[in-house]
Amino acid sequence: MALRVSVRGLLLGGSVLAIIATAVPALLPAAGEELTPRTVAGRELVDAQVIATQRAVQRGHARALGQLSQVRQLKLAITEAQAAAIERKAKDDLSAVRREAIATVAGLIGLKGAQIEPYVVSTERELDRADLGAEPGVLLAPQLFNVVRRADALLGQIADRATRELTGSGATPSPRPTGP
Amino acid sequence: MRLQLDRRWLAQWIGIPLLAGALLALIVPPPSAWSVERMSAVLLLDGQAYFGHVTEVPWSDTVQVNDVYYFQDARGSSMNLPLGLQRRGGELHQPTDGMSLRRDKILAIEPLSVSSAVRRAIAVERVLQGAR
Repeated sequence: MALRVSVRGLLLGGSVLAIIATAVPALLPAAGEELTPRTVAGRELVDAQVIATQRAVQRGHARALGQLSQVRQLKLAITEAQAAAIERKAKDDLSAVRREAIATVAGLIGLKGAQIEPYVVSTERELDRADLGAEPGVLLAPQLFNVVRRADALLGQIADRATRELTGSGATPSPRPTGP
Repeated sequence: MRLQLDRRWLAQWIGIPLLAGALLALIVPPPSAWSVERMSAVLLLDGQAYFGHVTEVPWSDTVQVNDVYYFQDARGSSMNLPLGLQRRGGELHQPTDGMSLRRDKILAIEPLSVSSAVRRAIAVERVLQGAR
């Protein structure tokens, strides 16, 4: 068998192979990604994550309340009326943060407008009654994780601010040693 | 006996089908994986881990990861877990979906089981994205 290939044919074949070798790495990920099916969660799993989120927010809320309660047990330099006012304001702020977090979760699961308020009220009632003992952690979906993270940050800030106001530690900075 | 094969016949019936078959074999996943989403963890030498759809081109020095998620430190949070999951794309520089990782920085690539906590969280995230 005699197979004769011209130089022009070889160059043409080589060029085609080079183009394919260059194009495939660029096209392959996009093509593969298009063909990949996407798994979505069922109602049960979504509900479990939503409940875990709400309970995490409630743990943060309870932790902040606990911090306030500990500070209130101290002998404070301010009057009882002043302390009660600071505590009441902090508790209102903490409740507002919890409410906002629950409303955000309601929005994430598709509730709209007039549906959100009843959902928030009933969830708050359930959370106030909930026993939050030692629960195993749940790896949350990113958007739910962000709700918890934001609530944690705000709850911590409110509790810390109230602590400073109650103890007066924010009014006068502690003396710091000066350098040589 | 002398068999005369012309170049056009060879290209048409052998060359092109061979190339097409090779390309299809690279692009199309095996039938066993057609109805199942394959997600993998890409563990890097520096300890970072990314989760997503991994595409490997044999002659490329990078590995492509799409639909990317990663762990974020959540110590001290009220979640009772030291880690949280984040979706890549929300960072300050807002990368579009997909990232290329150098092979020499990768320690291991591991497929994720269907019941893994990461896959479950990602599956819920997709529902939430669709719900709004």
